[in-house]
Amino acid sequence: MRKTAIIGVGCTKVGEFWDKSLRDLAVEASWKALDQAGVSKVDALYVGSALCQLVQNQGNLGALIADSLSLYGVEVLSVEASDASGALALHEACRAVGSGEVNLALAVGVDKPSDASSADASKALMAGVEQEYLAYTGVNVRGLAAFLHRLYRERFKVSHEEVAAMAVNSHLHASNNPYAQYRNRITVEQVMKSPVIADPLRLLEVSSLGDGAAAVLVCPLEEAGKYAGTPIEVAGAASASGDFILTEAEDMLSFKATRLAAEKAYRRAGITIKDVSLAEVHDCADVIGLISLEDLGLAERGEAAGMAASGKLAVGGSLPTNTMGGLKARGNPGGATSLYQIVEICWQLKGEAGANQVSNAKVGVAQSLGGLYSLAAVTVLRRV
Amino acid sequence: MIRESPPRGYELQVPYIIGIVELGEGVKILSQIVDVFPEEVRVGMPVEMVFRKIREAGVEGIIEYGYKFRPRMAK
Repeated sequence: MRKTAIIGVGCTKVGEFWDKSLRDLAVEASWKALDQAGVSKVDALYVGSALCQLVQNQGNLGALIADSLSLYGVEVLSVEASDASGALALHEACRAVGSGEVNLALAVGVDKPSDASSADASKALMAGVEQEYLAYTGVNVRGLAAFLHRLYRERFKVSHEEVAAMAVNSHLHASNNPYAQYRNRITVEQVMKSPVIADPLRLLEVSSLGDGAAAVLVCPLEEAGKYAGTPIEVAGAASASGDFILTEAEDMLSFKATRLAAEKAYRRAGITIKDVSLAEVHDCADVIGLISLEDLGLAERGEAAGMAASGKLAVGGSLPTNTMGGLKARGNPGGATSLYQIVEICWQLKGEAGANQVSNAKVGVAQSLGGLYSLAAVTVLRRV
Repeated sequence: MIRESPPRGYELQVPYIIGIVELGEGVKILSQIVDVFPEEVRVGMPVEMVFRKIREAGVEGIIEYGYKFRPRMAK
């Protein structure tokens, strides 16, 4: 397999866009990524979306977005893997380029949940979770996270305030990200006073859906010099499946999908956790972000909350995490969210992260979950 | 307890309690916990299965039935 590099990234702001369609968002992000590399054509297009079939009733997204980009004759593939859709689209793009079959592949993640009512969006989000035994009870994704929140605090003897520090950290970072949906800073006190949405989870601890698209352009590493811009190596990309029914996991507070994907991705990249400069983790709820850090090996079991509370996850801390706001504050545009993580790490590794720049960032790890815990995508990016 | 954003089909039930129920064989399942006030629910509480309406599906409103659990009645 050839080594691959990212030579262009782009994203839209995350928000509620009443005047833009699914395809408008995808095109905006894609043109940014293509412009950065100075190209207008690609050989293959991979489009990840978690919700488009349920919210817009739009399938066949690969061909739709290709046509919208005036790309004809390209190989297209639509990828659905819940919130990890975008990351898996990128992994497929890297595999295609790595194999030597294509030279330029574009991965796009897009979703526009604001087209759905709250109940329909909640149901659509649950499509990534097992239907016969879990969704059937009427539980929503936040309800599942609420169980883990309670169990995490009981098992590891950490306070609600320490867990909430994860959400506070994400908002702190989003305040400097012009693409973020929620740029307001919040305090632990505000989190603790926000309404309970699924006991014991409070409103300010969970991400909310937004519209958005992100795009990443991939070429062979050895050819990256031919294009404009600074290349970033995709050093290791791996995904892994895990338990599909939460209550059947041996340990509900550790997702084997993340552990197995991380192991593979680190091995492929030839790195250890000591090499990691910054991380993007799937904080759809604060506690899920904490569990993710622990499953990635970047925090000891039960200690991620303490790291959040002591500022270690902030820019300038020992492990800057979710440096552009994470799902919590940058916003969670469904299948696009995992490609936003990639875009943001590229900004960091290229030194383009503005006020949130992590000094001397060399290696970034992005982790995304599909179906809350059953599927994980881990991507290791490295400055060339 | 689910207090907001219930999935389509469950809107009229809000708020509702969801619990992890351990069956006699050791299998753990998720279920709605009914016939009880939220403040009375505690970990380790003995429960029993009941047959209940789950939701009305689609525009035709076909009623789906299934299991829920309630505190075990005194014998």
